[in-house]
Amino acid sequence: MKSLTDQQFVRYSRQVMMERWGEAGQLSLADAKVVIIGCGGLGNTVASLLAGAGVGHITLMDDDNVELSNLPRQLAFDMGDIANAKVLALANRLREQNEDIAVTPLLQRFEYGCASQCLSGATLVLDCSDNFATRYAINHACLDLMLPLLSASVIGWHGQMLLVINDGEHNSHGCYQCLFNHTDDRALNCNTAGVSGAAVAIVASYQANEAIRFMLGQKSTLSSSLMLIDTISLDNKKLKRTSDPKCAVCANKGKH
Amino acid sequence: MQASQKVVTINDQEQVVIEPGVSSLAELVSKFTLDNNVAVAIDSKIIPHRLWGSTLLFGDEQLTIFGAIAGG
Repeated sequence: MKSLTDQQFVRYSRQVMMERWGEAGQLSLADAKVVIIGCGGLGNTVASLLAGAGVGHITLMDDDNVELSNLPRQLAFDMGDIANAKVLALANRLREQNEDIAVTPLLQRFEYGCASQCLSGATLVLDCSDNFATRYAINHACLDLMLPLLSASVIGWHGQMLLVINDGEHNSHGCYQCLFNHTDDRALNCNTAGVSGAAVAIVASYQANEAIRFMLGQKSTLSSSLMLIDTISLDNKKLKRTSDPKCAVCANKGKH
Repeated sequence: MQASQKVVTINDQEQVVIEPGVSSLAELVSKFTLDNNVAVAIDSKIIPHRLWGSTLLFGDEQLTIFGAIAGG
């Protein structure tokens, strides 16, 4: 039976001592494989928190290079990383951060066609991407491959987050496309509307916390709801999700 | 506002007068915003866009209208 080494026990002691975590939970994290799609603001912080927590296998996907305007919120990068591939720079930081874990960088944009290979064996997929085309492709792929998807987004001072379990039993709450099936290029993104680095860190921290709780086997109310995060009023809302009976992606899959 | 009029509250602030049982969610949203990139919840339950036209409002509902965001 597996157990933590003495050094691991010390390293992770403050989380292992927590209720509903324990050594068994830590070993679950060590066995888990997460795929983080997008290595921008959300991906930076989420990856760092999961690496720190001891998630054993982290795959990173992104095809962008680091730019100067990224540095206020993409905290794993510095001036020396400018023009380098984000996914490689972030992978290096994570390896420095925690030598216990395996990090696999994939220097490519996520597309539906690569899903079966890129997402293979994932315990959880984290959508940290920055455009709707990618978000739709991730949602579709996770549904087809029956992989749980934790999707977060942020703009300005606001964020959104949802968990789509994709196990057939929870599908009555719908998928990402059930929520937003009319989005187009006019929808807000960080390049056009701006974004607060602190707000990004808040949303990313929620996302990492939910990811860890999911991998520890804890239930999440986000599997049936969408969380609206407002860092101005500090009033977060959870809205109940329902499936679109004619959703082009999920209508014929699982229970409705 | 007359006593018989019904209102819905939007995003905890704005109140809009409706004709009970006649106004659909689609009509109301189209008056509130022309942006297609929005989702709507009635009393904290999100209504899929495809069902807006057949969802009638009866007054006293709390609506949450919010935009889709993609930034990461």
